Amino acid sequence: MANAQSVCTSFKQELLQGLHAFGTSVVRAGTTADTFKAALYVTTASLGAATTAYSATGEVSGTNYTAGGVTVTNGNAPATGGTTAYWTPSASFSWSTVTLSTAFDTVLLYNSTQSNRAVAVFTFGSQTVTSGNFSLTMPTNDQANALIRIA
Amino acid sequence: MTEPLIYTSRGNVPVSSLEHYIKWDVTAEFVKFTELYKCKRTGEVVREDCHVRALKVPEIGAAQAAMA
Repeated sequence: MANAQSVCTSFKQELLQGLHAFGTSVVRAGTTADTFKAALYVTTASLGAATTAYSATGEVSGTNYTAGGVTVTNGNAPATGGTTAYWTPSASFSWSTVTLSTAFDTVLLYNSTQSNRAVAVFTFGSQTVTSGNFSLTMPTNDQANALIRIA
Repeated sequence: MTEPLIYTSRGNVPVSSLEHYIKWDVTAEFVKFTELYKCKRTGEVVREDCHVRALKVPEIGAAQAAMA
């Protein structure tokens, strides 16, 4: 079954429950911002809107790839533009000198502080990497293009 | 003069021994740039890099409040 690019339905609900804290400061009882991570998945992993949390099932594996993915650089505070709230990681996701021989096409953004709860699934077309670098550059951080936008 | 080397699945090899290919994939959601290096002698892919620039991703639609 193929992967489907989508913002996870459970994440939308958990936003309303105050479970995810993006940004450099936190407006809630806790004072530490959550840590988010990005993990890569093979083309047959079946991730999508129904994904609720990170799982090693379907995740890529290979030389210099660490299970669980990379930590997201979180230097942007959530902002608003018009009626849209938005947020984007402040740096690209990157993996250096990796070999991922099984085709992959998906990155899962998840909250490793909050029980690895899923945030969103992004797809980018089937790919392999051989002894090379793989990077995902973020879109422009504005109300029209940010990685996470709540209209 | 030292010969330029590149790191591959076969270790550091002379760039001159490889064939270099590039590929661009452009969609509404992303732009992807892929580089391939193949051994001239065997055709084996010994290095592959990929860089993706996300352009547009799904947004969370506006919530509709309902008070019964």
